[in-house]
Amino acid sequence: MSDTYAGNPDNFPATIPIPSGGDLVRAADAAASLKALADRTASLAKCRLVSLTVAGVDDATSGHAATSTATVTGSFANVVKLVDLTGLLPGDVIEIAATFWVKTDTNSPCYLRFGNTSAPAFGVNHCIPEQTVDEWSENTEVRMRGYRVVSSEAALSVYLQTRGDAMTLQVKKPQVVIVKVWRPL
Amino acid sequence: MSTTYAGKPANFPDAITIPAADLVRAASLAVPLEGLADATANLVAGWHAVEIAHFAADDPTSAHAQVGDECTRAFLTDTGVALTLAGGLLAGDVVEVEVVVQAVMTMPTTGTRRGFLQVRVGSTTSDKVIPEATVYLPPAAPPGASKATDVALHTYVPIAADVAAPVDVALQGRIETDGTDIAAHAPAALVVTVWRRTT
Repeated sequence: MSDTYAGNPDNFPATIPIPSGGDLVRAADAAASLKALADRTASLAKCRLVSLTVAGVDDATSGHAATSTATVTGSFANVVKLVDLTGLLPGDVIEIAATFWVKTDTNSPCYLRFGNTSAPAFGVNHCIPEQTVDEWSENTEVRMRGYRVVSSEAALSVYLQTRGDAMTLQVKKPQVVIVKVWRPL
Repeated sequence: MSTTYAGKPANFPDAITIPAADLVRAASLAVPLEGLADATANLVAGWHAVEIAHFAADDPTSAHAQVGDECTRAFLTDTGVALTLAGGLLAGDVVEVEVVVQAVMTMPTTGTRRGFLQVRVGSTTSDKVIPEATVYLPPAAPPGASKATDVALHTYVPIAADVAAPVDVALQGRIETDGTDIAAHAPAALVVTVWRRTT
């Protein structure tokens, strides 16, 4: 005869009752210890980091060479694939952070965000503010952060997307991408 | 008589089986204990933070005091924004670094001048992705000009081989042209998280 117990993720007992003495152990004594350990385990697993993906392109000589070039249009389009995510479950929280350099050839607005043309955009967009005449041809550092709560997709490719006035956008070194997938219990 | 059990990292049981009969036999205890061992093995096999270290130079009066020495060389030297990881690093670890600092660059003469900032983890700078940040003074700047720039860096270092403790993490700077310097000023914050999964 037995019961099942899932553990309480909101409880992390400070101590665990341990049966003592030389008597035979009764079920109630064992159950108290096991449930306390199950609660602790569930508490530790309440929000697990199930995936940590990093990628980047170094630039040790500060050469800032372009790694990709895009023709910017009025609609968001994929420019660079940042990462492929697999094994996702509904409710997972994808946290993504990226740092990279860009350069445009035109003094006009250009916008960047995380997304995928075949999936909804991430929750946070990033805008490169309109550049001045003096600065539009300079390399610009971009730092972006965003997140997405997984609804049903088991896999997702995350791209850097851009839109804006007609221009050429170069994505340049150095580049850093860090993607974490958090899973609530 | 007893046996040992390592736990199955691939298994995180939805529930464990609790014995309910009055007296407990070893077999009845073994089942829930194995379930708990599987769960803990699963947790340690997944990514988990094993150390978080931080440095902060607060600036409640907006005085923007300099932190450490200015960087005056064309090769990287440390600023005062630095910390030490007390624990060692293991192959497979990922060290995540975030820095926010006010960088001030000065120059004695006219001309286009740049200063660069990046992160050092450990004793060398040769094998890591560098999210270099730049402070830039345009040609129109007068002699003696200075420029304060809020700099934010977010990077990572994958650890290829074990590194014994302690491990230094520092914000470094260099200049492009002689006669210029760049320095870290308050407010400044440096946070380092060591991520690990044990297989």
